[in-house]
Amino acid sequence: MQNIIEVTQLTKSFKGQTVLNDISFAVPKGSVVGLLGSNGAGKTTLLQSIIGLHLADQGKVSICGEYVPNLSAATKQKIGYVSQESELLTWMTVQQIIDYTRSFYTRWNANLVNFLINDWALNSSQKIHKLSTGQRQKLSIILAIAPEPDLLILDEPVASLDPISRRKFIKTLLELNTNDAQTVVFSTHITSDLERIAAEVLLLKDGSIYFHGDIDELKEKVAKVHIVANQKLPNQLNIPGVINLIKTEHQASVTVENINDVNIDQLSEQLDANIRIEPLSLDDIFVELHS
Amino acid sequence: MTEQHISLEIAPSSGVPIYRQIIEQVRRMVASKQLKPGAELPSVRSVAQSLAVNPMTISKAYSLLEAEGVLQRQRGKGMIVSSNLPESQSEDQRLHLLQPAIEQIITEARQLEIGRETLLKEIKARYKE
Repeated sequence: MQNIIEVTQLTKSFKGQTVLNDISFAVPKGSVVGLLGSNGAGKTTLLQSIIGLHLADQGKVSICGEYVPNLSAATKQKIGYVSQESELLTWMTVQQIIDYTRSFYTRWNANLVNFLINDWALNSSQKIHKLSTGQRQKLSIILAIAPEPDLLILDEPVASLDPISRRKFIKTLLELNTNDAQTVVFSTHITSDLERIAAEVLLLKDGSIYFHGDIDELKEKVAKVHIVANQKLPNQLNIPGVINLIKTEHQASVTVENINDVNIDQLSEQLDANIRIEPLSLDDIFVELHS
Repeated sequence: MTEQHISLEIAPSSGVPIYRQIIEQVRRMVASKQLKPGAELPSVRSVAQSLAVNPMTISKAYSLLEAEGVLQRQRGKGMIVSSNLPESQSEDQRLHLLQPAIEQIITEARQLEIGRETLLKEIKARYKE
């Protein structure tokens, strides 16, 4: 598979403060990648650096084989981007901004626009400054996907959407991905959405990549081991790859990096304990990593 | 045979990966003959769409079920329930599918400090022949 995005040793700092630290990864064409990280982890900076809104201090970013920011007009046409804050011209009506945006693109799926305006209950004659935050977000998404970009970059696209709209949005994204092999990179805090639509997750922590890979793999590796011992637990539990540990005299809850590295039977015998393994959701994993 | 409607349920926020949730449900439906040998499964695309999940997830589940011998890929069509199911009919196999639920109930009983005998008695009373 060909890579649509390649990031090599990207470093970016603002006023001496490092936001992105030596980041390297590639996104194959047609994949859906979810970007996860706490507030200030560098998600927005990373997305903006990918499309060239920030210049890298060090390292390189390429899209479709061309180095950012020197992208050809043809490549720029292939990118759709929705920022966290709506950047719409608020004095226009919904229809006006659709027509205006359309004039910049050679490709435009008018049927999709009409369908989504209807489906997402937007009123095309309404002025944008009268729209709610969620409605503006919907409109921004529509404008970004209308040119049928090969690469769609979304910075917290669903933050202000209600659950019904979120589900509709997910379905639309999945359809675009299945039918047109569109690549989607998006950041979010709503991990249950991410678990639905993304096959891959990129977890940023303090400006570096903590994990990049299959969501299922992450969920199968990271787990919580609950230990209830019949006697006093020793000070040091002999468990590899501990992320987090809570321990009392007879009980312990240990979050481990890779449950497959833990010999449960041996541990149970060693400690004379009952051991239960709790699989963790992405949400739980995220919290465990940051506590 | 026509494509059957099967109702799969997923809980994205559960710690169990979605593809595993699907595998377990299909296994159970096959074991209980709710899905009979030769029955066609809904396409990857339609399952993905109705559950609003990535098609890769469904496709992964189907492929693993195929590797297990539970499903068979039909050329040009979708997946069907294998017509010569391996040993999955034995009681042992079916009992194996119940393991997670058993583990769960034992854990909860322990937490509530309900003894073994009491638990067994309750199960016996509930599970009438």
